[in-house]
Amino acid sequence: MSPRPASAVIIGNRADEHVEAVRERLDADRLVLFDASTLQADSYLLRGGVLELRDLRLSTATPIRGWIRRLAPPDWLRGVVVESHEAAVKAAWLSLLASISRTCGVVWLTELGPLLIAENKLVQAEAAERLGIATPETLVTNDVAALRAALGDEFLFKPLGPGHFYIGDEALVVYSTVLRHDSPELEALGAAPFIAQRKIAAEQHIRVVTVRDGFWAAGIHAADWPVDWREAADAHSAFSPVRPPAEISEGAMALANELNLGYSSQDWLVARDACFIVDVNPAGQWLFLPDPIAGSVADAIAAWLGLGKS
Amino acid sequence: MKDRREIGALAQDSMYLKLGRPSLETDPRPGETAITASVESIDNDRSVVLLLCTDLIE
Repeated sequence: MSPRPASAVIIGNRADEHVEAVRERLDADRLVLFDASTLQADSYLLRGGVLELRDLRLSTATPIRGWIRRLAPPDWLRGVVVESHEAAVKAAWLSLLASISRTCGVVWLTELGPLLIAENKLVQAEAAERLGIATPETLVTNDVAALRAALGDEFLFKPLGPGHFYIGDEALVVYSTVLRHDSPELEALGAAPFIAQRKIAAEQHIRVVTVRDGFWAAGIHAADWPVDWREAADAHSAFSPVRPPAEISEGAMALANELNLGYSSQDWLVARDACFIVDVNPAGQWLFLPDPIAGSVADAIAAWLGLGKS
Repeated sequence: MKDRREIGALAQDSMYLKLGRPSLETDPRPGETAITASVESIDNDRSVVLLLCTDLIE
């Protein structure tokens, strides 16, 4: 039997609740859903801009829409040594996913290239500056004196690289942390570049989610939580829907557009005199936000995918 | 020019070890971008880095 044309495609995994939230809103019969970890368990054939996967087909001849949630689960082939055989295998699967994403005529909610580029916090800050959106003064240096001269005695540190790592099987998260110029942690400043930012006296943390022209916002009072609210386990459930100032609603949409992100989740700070963008997550989570936001975001992604053409 | 010791270039521990905290969730990236682990995998491999660089050049 000849493969049927797919109606939409998701790169992600059914074990991911965000994928499930969108999948259950779509016609599952003609939905192509895979990631690097599941592709090898299926029969597939890619040639000439056509991917046949199980009984479905992606093709440049019949463009459909797609959403990249995750290329692979968080623990997929974790810990392989660079340039080892396992690393080559891992890279081969990721190369195949990248190839599929770029050759089969899929119109992605966010294309893979912009998604990866926008992960970089300095790229985000530069885009914000270009748009006239306030962002905390940001620098990267291995010189404590320069740090102090630019930002004063106290500043915020956050990773420029990955926000998490493993020691053995223990997962460690690097939260944004306030340090003083004489903090002993700064002895390690030279070993890996980190972002230093001016500390903002925030009154409110706002999490914004954008899906194309859709916009949702939820907030928590800054005084009730750590500087990095992710550090408090119950902060995720403390957000409530808010109507933020226009500089956030307009700025968030402009920033998503500037970074070519069909989906984004963004972290903003409301201070006494201004609103600051502090982080853009091109594929970030949203289901911890309260309803109706959580459901509406899933609805919006599913609705966009369901239209089937751009 | 500052001495390498002054700028911490000889540090054994990075800020990762100084600031890393045990994850509160099974997903070690609560609330933040979910694709990071995959991106790291890409970044760690030359062949796909080249592929991504093509994107950047385009």
